[in-house]
This record gives sequence, C-alpha cells and structure tokens, in this order.
Amino acid sequence: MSDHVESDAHAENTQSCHVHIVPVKVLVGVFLALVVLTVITVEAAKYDTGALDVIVSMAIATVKASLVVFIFMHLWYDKPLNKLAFFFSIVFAAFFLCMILLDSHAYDNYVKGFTEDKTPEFLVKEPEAAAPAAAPAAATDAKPAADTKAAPAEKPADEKKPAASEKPETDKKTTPETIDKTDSK
Amino acid sequence: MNTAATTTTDEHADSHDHEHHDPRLAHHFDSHQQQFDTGKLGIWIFLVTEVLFFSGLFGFYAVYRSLHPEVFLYASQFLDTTLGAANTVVLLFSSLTMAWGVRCAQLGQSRGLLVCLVTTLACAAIFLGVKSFEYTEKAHHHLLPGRAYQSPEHHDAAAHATAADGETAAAAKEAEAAEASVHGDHGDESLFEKTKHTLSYMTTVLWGVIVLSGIAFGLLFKNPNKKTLATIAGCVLVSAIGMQLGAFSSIGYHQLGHAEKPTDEEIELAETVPAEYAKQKEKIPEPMLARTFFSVYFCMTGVHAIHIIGGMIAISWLIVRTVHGAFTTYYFGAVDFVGLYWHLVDLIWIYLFPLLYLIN
Amino acid sequence: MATVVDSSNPKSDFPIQYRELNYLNCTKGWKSWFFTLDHKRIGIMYLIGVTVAFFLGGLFAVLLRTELLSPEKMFLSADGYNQMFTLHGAIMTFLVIIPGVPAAIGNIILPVMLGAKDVAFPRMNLGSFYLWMAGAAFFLAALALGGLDTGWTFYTPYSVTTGTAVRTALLGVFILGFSSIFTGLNFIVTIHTMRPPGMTWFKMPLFLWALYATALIQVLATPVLGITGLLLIVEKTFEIGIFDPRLGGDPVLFQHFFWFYSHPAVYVMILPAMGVISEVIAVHSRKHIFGYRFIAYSSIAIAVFGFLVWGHHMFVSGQSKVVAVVFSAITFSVSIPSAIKVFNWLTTMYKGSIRFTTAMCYALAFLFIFSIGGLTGLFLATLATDIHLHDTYFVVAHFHYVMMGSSLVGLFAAVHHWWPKMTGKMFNEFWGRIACLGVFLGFNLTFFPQFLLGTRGMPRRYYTYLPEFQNLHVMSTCGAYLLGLSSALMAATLIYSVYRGKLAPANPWGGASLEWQCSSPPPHNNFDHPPLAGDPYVMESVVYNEEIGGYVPVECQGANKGSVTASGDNEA
Repeated sequence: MSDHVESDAHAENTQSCHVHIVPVKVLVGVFLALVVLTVITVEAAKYDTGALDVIVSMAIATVKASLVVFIFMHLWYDKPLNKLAFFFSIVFAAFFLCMILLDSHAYDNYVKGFTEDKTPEFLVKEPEAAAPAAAPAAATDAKPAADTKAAPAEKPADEKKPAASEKPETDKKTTPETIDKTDSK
Repeated sequence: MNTAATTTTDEHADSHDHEHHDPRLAHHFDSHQQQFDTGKLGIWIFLVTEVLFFSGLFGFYAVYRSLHPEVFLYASQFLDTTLGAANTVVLLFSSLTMAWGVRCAQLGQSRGLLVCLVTTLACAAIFLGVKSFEYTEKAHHHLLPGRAYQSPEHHDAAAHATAADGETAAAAKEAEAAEASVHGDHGDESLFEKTKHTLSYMTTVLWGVIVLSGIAFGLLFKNPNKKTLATIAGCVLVSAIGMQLGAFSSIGYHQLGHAEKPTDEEIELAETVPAEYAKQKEKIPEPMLARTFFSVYFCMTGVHAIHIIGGMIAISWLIVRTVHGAFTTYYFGAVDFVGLYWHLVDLIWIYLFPLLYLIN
Repeated sequence: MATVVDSSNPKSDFPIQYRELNYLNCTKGWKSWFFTLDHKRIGIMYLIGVTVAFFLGGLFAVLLRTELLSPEKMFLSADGYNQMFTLHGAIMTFLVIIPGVPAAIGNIILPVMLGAKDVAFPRMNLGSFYLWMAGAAFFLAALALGGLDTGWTFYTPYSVTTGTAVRTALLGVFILGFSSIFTGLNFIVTIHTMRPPGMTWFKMPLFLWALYATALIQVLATPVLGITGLLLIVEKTFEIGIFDPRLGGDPVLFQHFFWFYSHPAVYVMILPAMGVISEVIAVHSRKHIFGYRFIAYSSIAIAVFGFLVWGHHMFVSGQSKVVAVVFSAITFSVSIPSAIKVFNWLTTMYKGSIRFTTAMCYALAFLFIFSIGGLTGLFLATLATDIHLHDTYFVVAHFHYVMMGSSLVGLFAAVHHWWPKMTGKMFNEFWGRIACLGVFLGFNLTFFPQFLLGTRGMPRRYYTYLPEFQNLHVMSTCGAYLLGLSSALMAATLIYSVYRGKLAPANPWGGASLEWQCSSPPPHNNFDHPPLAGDPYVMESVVYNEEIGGYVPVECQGANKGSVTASGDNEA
C-alpha cells in the first residue's frame, strides 16, 4: 500500500491541507470486490448451512464493511484518533448488543413456555377464522388471542413493586384510581 | 506506513502571520489544516453517534431474531432478494462515485467532482425508487408492522392447505389471489396491478416534478445570476429521474421476471430448510409474531431511508457549492465529510441486506 | 503573560481588568444575541434557559411536597400528582441538570480556559441551543396537551397505553438528546484540536477533563436514547409490537434501551460538577490540586464504568441473575474513582489557606452531600438490600443527593465561581453565603428524612401514605420550602449584582488557569494573542494587589507596589 499516490494538494504554502489521495484503480477495485462479495453472499444464502448461515453472511458483510471503512472512508490512512473513535463506537455497540442479548434469554423461558402452551389453541382458532376468507375479520379474531398470550408473561417488567406491607391503611384521599388503595382497615 | 502516507514533507508550524481574511477559513482556526482536522474529527464522532443510534435498531433485531428465529425464517421470504441485491449494488456504486468525488475534490478537479456528485445523487434516488416499490408491494400484501399486519395465511385457507410443495413461495400468490377474490376477481396479477396503480400516483407526481424542474433548469441554466436556483432545480431533476428509474425498473423486473416465475429461488429455499422445521411449519404455518419481522423491517429500512434522504440533501448542497466553485485543493472538507456520512449509510445497508433479505 | 495596556486604565503594568467593550455589549439588538455564534453568549442564553426551567421544575417540586404535607388530599388528584412528579423529573433531568454545567457553564468557560477563540463548531453550538429550546417547547406542549404521567423514565407498557402526551414529550427528549450530542461533540473536538501551545493533556484544568469525560458519554450514550424514544413513538403510533407485551414485545428490552443511556446520563450530570469542584477547591484553598492525574483519570474511569452499570436500575425487573450480579459488581467499582476524587479534594484543602467564599461554601456543601449520596448508592448496588429498598423513598433520597444535591450544588458553585468572569460584576458575598447555608440546610432537611421514610417502606411516587410517616413528610416539605426560598435568594443576589454589583477584576479569586488571564467580561475574541499555558494550579503565579482588588501575575507586580501575597505557602 506504500505505493499510493501522495497528495500534491498544496497549492500555496499557507493554504495547504495534506491528505492521502486514493488512486482510481484502488477505488474501482474495491467497488468490484464489493460487488463480487454481494454476489457471493446472495449465493451463499441459497445453501442451507444451519447455524453457520448468520455467521457466514455477517462475516462477508464485515469484510465488505471493512473495505468501505478502510478504503472509501480513508480510515486506513487516517489519524489514529479517528480510528480509535470508530473502533470505540463498534466496541460500545457490540457491548450493548451482547448485554441485551444475554439478558433477553433470561426470561424467554417464561414467554416461550407460555406461547407453546397456547399454540394449539391458536391453531384451532385459525381455520375457523380463515374460513370466511375475509381477511380483516380473521386478523381481528386472532388478535385477542395473541393479547392474552403475551401479556401475563411480561409481568416482571412492571415497575411498581407490589408490596402489600406498604399499602396505605387509610384511604382518605378521594380519587379512586391511585395505584394501591385497596388495602383498607 | 499510514503516517508516511498522510503527511508530506513541507510541514511547518502554525503560522501566526497567516492572514485572517481568507473567506474559507473560519476566524477561530489558525490554518486550513487545523480546520480540516477539526472537521474530520467532528464528522467521525458524529459517525460514532450514528453507529450507536443504529445499534439500538440492531439490538432490537438481534433480540427478536434470537428469541423467535422462526419468525425471521418465515417472513423474510416475502422480501425480494433480487431487488435487495440490486439496491445493494446501486448503493455500493454510489459509494464508489462518492469516494471518487472526494478524490476529485482533493485534486481540485471540479468538473469531475460535479459528475461524481450528480451520479451519487442519482444512485441514491434510484435506491429510493426501488425501495418505494418494495414498500408499496408490502403494503398491498398487508405485510405491515404491528396492528396493520395481516397474515397472508388468512387470505385463503384452502390454497394454503394444498400448497405443501412450495407453500412459502405460494404465500405471496395466495395473498394475491385472496385479495383478488375480495376485491373483484382480476386473477393473479391483480395485486401487482394494484401495486403498480398505487405507485402510479408517485410516478405521476415524479413526472410532474421532472417536467417542472426540467423547465426551471432549462430556463435558469443560462442565467449566471440564478446559478444556485438552477443547480437546485438540477438536483431535483436528477433525484426525480433517479426515483422514476428505480420505480419503473422494479416494476419492469416484477413484470418480466418475477410474476412469471416467482418461486424458483423460494421453492429451493423452502426445500432446504431443516426437516424438523419443515414439519413444524406444516403444523404452524405462520409464526405468531410474524408481524414483528415487518416491524423490524420497516423500522430499520425506514430509518435508513431517512438517512438516505438526509444524505441526498447534503449532496445537493455540495453540488450547489461545487457549481459556485467553493472547493479547492486546500478546502474540500465538506465533500470529504458528506462522503464519510454517505459511506456510513452504505455501510449500514451492507449489514441490513443480509440481515433482512438473506435469512435461511 | 498578556500584558495588554488598556488606555483607559492608568495601572498600565497590569493586564486589562475590565473592558468597556466586551462580549456582552460589543454588538447590540436581539438579533446579535439570537443569531450569535459567540460561545459565551450561547452559554449565557443556556444559563437563562436552564434557570427558568429550574424554577419551573422547582415549582412542581414544591407543589408535590405541599400535597404530601398530609396523607389526605390537599389539592392534587392522584392523576395530577402523577403528572406533576413526572414533569418535575423530566424537566429537572432533561432541561436542567444535563445541560446545566456542560452546556451553560461549559460553553462559557471551556474555550476561554483553552485559550481558544471559540468552540470548534460555533454554528453547531448555536444549533444545539435552539434544539434545546425546541425540546423545552415540546415539554411545555406536553404539559398543555394533557400532561404526562409515566414518570420521567417512560416505562413500557404503561407509556404505550396511557392517554397522556407521551409522544410529544418523547419528541422533546429526542430533540434534547441531539442538543446534548452536539454540545458533547463540540467539546470533544475543541479539546482535541484547539488547545493552545503549551497545554498538553496533563496541563489541562481538571474542569476540562471532566467536560471531556462528560462529552464522551454524551456522544456515546445519547444516540441510544434517541433511537429508544423514536421506537417508543413508533410503537405508540403504529403499535409495532417492540415494547408492548400485548403484541409480543418485550418491555424489559425498553428498560435496557432506556438505561443504556440514562445511567450514563447520571454521570453526565455529576462529572462536570466534579470538575467544577476540582477547580473551586484548588482556587479557593490557594493550593495546587492534590493528585492531578488521579482526578483526571478518575473522570475517564467514571465515564467508562458509567456505561457498564445500567442494569442496576433493573434488579427487580426480571433481568437474569448473571447479568444482575455482573452489574452489581461493576456498580460497586464506580465508587473507587468517586472516592479517589473526594480524597483528593480533601487532601487539596489540607493545609491550604481556605477562604469561605460563596463558591467554596457550595463546594464544601457538595463534598458533604456527595459523600452521603455516594455512600447510600452502595446499599442500592447490593442485590439483596436493593430488593427491600427498590422503589422506595430511599432511592428518591439517594438520587436527589447525587443529582440535586451534588450536580446542582456543583452548578451553583460554578455559577458563583465564574460569575465575575461571565458578567464582570461581583455579587454580595454575605447574601451569597446566606443563600448557600439555606440551600445546604434546606436540602438536607428535605431529603434526609426521605432516607428514613424509605427504609421504613414508604414507596416512591405515591400521593398518600400511612399516618405514622407524617412527621417525616412534614419535615421534608419544610426543607423543600427552605430550599426553594434559598434558591430564590441566590438568584436574587446574583441578578442584583448584574445591575448594582461592583466591577470585577480580571482575577478575583486568584486562579491560575487561562480564563482568569483575560479581562473580566472577556472580549468578543477572548484573547488578543494566543496565551501561553502553564500549569493551571500553580497558585503562586498570581499575587493579590490591593489597588485592583484582585490577583495579578507575579511578574506584573512591581517591587514598589504594596502587595499582599496570598499564596497558600506564605499564609499557612
């Protein structure tokens, strides 16, 4: 890479701005590589490789992305600080994704178990609903079923901690729609 | 080797004797180099925020895909891989022209810069044109996010029962058939016709825009005092033509290739899914949360499309400034910065494409 | 040193103390303010906006406390109470504390401290102020359009189902997020590229380190808040089923998204205040800051750790045990850099010549309050005790000790410390100290009883309570009144000084950092010549001059001039 064209972009001494200029050949080459990789990823998706599938397509995407970042965006030739900034954004994004992924499976047992229990019911319903062939009606029929399914499983998310001991004993305030007003003397 | 490449030899200290009347140099900077480096760091940090902004969407995707892989497997088949791939190539090409434009700006070739920028703008518009076709098609299939989603399975239960061989491929067709029977029997093509019909509103408007901006461009072109307006008209013209091109080529593709043999690839897809999954699919033809996929799809591509539009506006601004001859060999920061933003938009699409279109 | 002779000033040996033509009056007319690109004017506009928002949010707080004088209904309905604490929280968080020190004080001081003419992107700076205004407008619109009753956290699924103006408020949050991002971006780039010759990273004043760490958080975390708000708006409008469990969404995911921003945002609030305290304590103790590098590194460490602890808001939200343990452990480790700072501040004061100026009084109040706030955080970081304390007044008291007691007292300290520089006027120290005492006592009276209430099981966000809690609630309310009155007194003292205060010298407190080298309201371009930066904490480099009433550089002090050296060594 050391044989790249150097910048001759300085016209005057005071008004100069030194940057690396990428030659056309490299640009076109990168573009062609990107197109080839796109074709490869499309073709690769047609073969079933099971769990590897995501990894393969993400690996190809990452190769493509690095080509864009390093050549098109000049990051390869850029200041270390800019490299660091971009690197950190990736690290933070990755960290964020990992943590929420790690956690999202903590409670999916509840949700999954719940949905699996209910699935037959849903199936029983479906042909009936579909029979009239009226699509909107079918959709509205199916919805309440979905509602009842998901809602209870998500209970832990509720923010208010239901603590019976903390409920007020005296209900002197008038409005009925407070959060916990049931526990009277 | 990078440090050797980035700097040239005649480095000199920040000049205090530097005159401050240079209109291209803001008053609080000492040199163009400082101004450029500052802007470059700024745009990189902005890109950092963009990456994190999208990381929210990717997080949303990752969580739902890991929780409900079957949904993604099922629903991604409604996306047209060919259109997606074509769009990818269009965006990659626009990235090439943008990078080339930056090179032209650095070398002070303003004509080349103009050509590159206009090409980039056109490619962005083509991308949007294709996207608008895809969106319209989804809308007619009721493959919309959330409540608006309607299961394609509900359209025609009978057809669904028979479609054991290529049922996923058939789903789109079933939907079309069902729609047709509801809305007055026009046969298989009717949904596509509807899509075309809806798109025709857009294309009509675009024709109007093309004609108007073309006239404006033609009238203003010769007038040296109206350079800015003429350039803006030109940008609008290019964008409208690009979108038109994108919309019509996807309609054409659909008419020629897709409508006749829609299923080769998809049948194959359906056949190659794991056996246990295929079995399961006979039991559960449509995962309960199929709508979630379309929520993901529309959110991600929608936010991406907004970024494309933002990029088009920025590129148009660059075109206007280029026409005015604002960029020189020592002042091309704006081109570089918009270019970086544009590449990031491309970068995000590079990930979106396999994540949404190529699920197997 | 820049010894520019002012023709109007007979004491020609000294740097210019006061300029007739300064940034405040160099151009006139509302346009010169509303379209200004001058960082100082933008900072002043921010300061005014933040102050207005502070008193609005404070008014809500006082109303809330008044309602809680008795378990019976006073004048607020349950829904009204919900809306009021939501708006109090949202306004105080998004409109006051987050932009308070960084955007208002930081904008005014950062470039001057750097010896730069302006921030790197002045237009973006102005844009960020207008975004702040737009965000504030959306908040007010939410108030007008039926209020907001979700709490400032917008937790799903309630925020999806409630009929109040969640969307408007979220748009406001989205816009304010971008305002914050632009400020942070500007600061990072400015600090990186516009430092003067001689100012290496470890010769930067610690306030700049703190602002830098803050800016890192703003840039890295706020986008996630933006996308979260956007997704919640989309969810509420199109019901796309991301966060709404009825549609298969995951409400805990929302909490992750939200706290990924909002926990680091807590450090956006506290870090700049810590930076202020580092400056104030060093200057008003007339002593070199102790452990400079440790304070600098601990700012960065807090910023980094701040990203890794968001899960401690969700210990009872059903997150997995592994994640909870990890988050708990990292949360404890945040206390290390925080403690490093506190110890260094204390050691800085040791054997210094401490002057109890108003700014220093606020700094001492900060130390006291922050220690309590920080230590009570440890109880909440402990998984087991958190089960008991979660969602009680203990949490309320803890985060008020940190966010209100520390961040805002830090802001007050900053305002008093740099007030002569910003306005060119000296305020009345006596009334300033009285106000400080009132703020300190009022604050502790308000929130200390809340620790007791919390441990006894008083849940937060309730508009009624058991009768045995009444005494503590009344104490708390009295404290809130005192706090409100003292804040008003503080504002009155400062505003009075603008009109009647005596002219401030360039360096009234004897600081050695660059901002004290330019005249007291700085001129439009801050410095006539790029200043030479040295160690910002060598207090011996300036000596007191009675004629001027402020400090002047040692080399300007003639041998025949009667001078009192006020450097720490000589007096201690």
